[in-house]
Amino acid sequence: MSAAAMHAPRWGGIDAALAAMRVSTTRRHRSWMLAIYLTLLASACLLGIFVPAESSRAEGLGFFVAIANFSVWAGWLSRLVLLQKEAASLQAPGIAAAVSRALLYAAVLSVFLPGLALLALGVPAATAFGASAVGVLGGLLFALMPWPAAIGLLMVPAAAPALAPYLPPMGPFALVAAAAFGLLMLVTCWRSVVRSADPADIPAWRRPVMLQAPGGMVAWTDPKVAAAPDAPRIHEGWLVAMPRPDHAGPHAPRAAIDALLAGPMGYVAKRTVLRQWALMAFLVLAVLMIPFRGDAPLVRDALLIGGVVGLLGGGWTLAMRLERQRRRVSGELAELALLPGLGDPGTAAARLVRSIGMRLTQLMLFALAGLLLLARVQALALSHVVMLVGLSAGVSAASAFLCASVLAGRHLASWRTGLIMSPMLVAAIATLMLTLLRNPLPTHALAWPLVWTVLTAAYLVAVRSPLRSVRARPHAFLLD
Amino acid sequence: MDASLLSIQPNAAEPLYRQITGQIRRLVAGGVLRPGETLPSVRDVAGLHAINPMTVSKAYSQLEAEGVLLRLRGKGMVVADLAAPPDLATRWALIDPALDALARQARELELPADALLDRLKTRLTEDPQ
Amino acid sequence: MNAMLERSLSAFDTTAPLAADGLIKQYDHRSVLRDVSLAIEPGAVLGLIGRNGAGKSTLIRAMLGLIEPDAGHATVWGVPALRLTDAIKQRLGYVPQQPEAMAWLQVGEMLDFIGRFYPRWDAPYVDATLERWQLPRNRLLAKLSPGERQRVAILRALAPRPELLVLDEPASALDPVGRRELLREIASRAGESGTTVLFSTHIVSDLERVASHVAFLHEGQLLLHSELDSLKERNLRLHVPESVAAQLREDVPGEVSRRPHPYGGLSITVLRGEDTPWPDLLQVPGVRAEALPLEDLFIEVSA
Repeated sequence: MSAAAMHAPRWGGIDAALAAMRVSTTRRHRSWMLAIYLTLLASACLLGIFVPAESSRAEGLGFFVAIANFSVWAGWLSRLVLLQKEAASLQAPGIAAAVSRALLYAAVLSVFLPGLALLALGVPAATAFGASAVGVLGGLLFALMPWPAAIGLLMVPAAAPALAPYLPPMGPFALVAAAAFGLLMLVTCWRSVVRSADPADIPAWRRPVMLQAPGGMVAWTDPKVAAAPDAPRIHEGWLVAMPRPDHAGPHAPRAAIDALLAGPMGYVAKRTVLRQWALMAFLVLAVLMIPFRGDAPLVRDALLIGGVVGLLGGGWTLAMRLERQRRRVSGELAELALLPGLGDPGTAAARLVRSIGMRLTQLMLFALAGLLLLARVQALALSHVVMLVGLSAGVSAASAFLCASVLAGRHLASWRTGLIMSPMLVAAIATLMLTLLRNPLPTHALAWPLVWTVLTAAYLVAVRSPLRSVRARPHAFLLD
Repeated sequence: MDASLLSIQPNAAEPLYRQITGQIRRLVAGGVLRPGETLPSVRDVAGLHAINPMTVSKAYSQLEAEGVLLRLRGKGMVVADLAAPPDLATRWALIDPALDALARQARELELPADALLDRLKTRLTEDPQ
Repeated sequence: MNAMLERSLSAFDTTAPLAADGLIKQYDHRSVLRDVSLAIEPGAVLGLIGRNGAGKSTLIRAMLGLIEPDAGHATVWGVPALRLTDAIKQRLGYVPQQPEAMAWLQVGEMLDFIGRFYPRWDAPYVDATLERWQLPRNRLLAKLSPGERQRVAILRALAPRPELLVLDEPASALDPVGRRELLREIASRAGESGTTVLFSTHIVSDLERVASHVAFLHEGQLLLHSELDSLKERNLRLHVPESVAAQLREDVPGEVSRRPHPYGGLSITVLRGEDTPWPDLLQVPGVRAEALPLEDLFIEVSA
């Protein structure tokens, strides 16, 4: 993405704005963002249609819209600010004007369209438009603020109900004050991003999320972007624990493979393990401390959604990293291919598969444990818990299939994968919605566990095909 | 003799080993390298100029075959002792490249052979300045 | 040079250390390697030259079995490249282009770890070279400059004292002093231990210093492969005046390219075969000839 790559349309008008939006990120990323946005909005509409009026209905729907706007602004549209920055440094006022226009159009569209939809569903106007606006504001702030503040911003919806009893009642005056404060922060951070000459100058602890890596948040959709040689993988090391091969060697080949594949749950040093466990304990405590009262449905739902998304995302991310590693032509796979002492090709392949398998299992177990903890804390009905367990099993099996496909050399982000994953995704979303709605399941009680059992079995059987391909390859560490 | 006495030009059209042999021959003929003097080892020359030792070795071997250098056990390559002037064939061989170049240039400039020979004879009978 | 003669002959010495036969590779319907066949003799230093995007890195990866070609096969000491044995891997050193493996480790950690896998790992050499090149042992690889990163990768490949050394654009990130040092190291290993070396570069002068053989890759095809000295002695650029040019009916034997001169006449580049004589055109009065430096020769060959 660069300002220089834009064609030169007439500088007035919509096409310049559209061009700016097009140029701000890769086509694949745009498609993903639009897909997610529309899915969230559609879910909101569906919920609005099917859920009868209750006390928190308006807030719930507003919440969905806010989240939708937040994701699309944080993930995509805030990159327009990067474009503005480049336009400023290139001294190209035409481009800067086009970008400003693009931002204006996008803001208007993303506030008014969902707002009108919510109005149609019976949500009061203040909540409808307010929620959309909050989403836009939140998304921009998240991308532009220094990243510790951005993480703090994510905690606000969770912390607010917990703090509510301790604070004086919030009248409309307080809301306006909060909005003004938010706008002030936004303007300040915006200016600092646009004016900053070189992202590397801002010390790492203060850098906004958007400026972190060259690919920014585009990286998770497109393995090619993240495989560029200058992607700073050092950032992963702090939290996610890169493996230390202190005891690996030809006598411990599986440890060597583990060490070289990198990523979470590898072969880690003690102090990183402590860090990870400390963070985990902190999260657990935070979850346990949040009072789950009846008037804070947002938090309940958000955590559950987060848990399921984490489950889905975990497997996907692992497969994605594997594919990225395959594409790094001068990376660890090339080392593994030429390192003596890893055994003959068949043994090496088996060790590789086992290493990935162990990682995936650990990841899935963690996610399941998290979900079960949530279920316990929220006192979900047993039928729902069973559904969640089924969901975990199905997602794990599907993730295993994804990872095996990548090992076999297939491309991950393709229509074929989407097609194969779609039954699982549909079932997962349905399960999630049913759990969120808390409806007891009289008649469908047996259907869901059955559905999940069938899906899990199907994916597990499907894993055999890519595994066969892996064994048929001449050696396990072939580059793309 | 120091290895830096040789000047190597990798980009020239002439192969490296020929550059080396040519230079050593001229150094010997000019008296800079005296008979019995040891030449720097292959490794030293190659190391200083960052070239392949096999190139240097090829040059030395060729000069040894021509009789310009001698390989002595324990000392390395040594300039051959020319008590008697090199035989006629060798001396002709040394000047042949210059004659070839002269003939080629004369052809390129389209100068007639007899005029060229006259001029050459004048220069040869003159006393060197 | 005696060291080379006294080297004990192992089974590896008789077969070509690296050989490729009919390699074809396509990426997204773009031909990157078109029927490339190449063999390197033991002890040779082959410089693989070509423009960016000519397919040098792909060829090297295919010859080492890192990628699977669409057709053809490659062997290392007679063993198929896709199924290298541990014995072969222990004698092979590879420096990839822009190395980025294990970026989260420290220099010392990575070298110690890799060193465990090689029985002939020369730890004193590693320590001495780290000092000489001023590479800090406890710096994270990711925080090194590209030049330092490349040096570490070169050291990692040289430390196990390999008999076959393959370097993909090893000097691209090095400053001139570093380049000279690297060439010196390669040259001394080749000359004294008889190590076979394959390195790819687009800097012709480096190649002219240390290479014994030269191969020219252009748009996926191998256009030239010969001994360097012989190549320098077998090429000529002929400047043919207009009167003579008009009489030329067909290609001169060994002709590589011809261009019109701005002031009339032709400029014909000729590369004769190993034992063939120069073409008769050379004797025609008015025709001038000059030997070409390697860089110019490649430009003509790729035209």
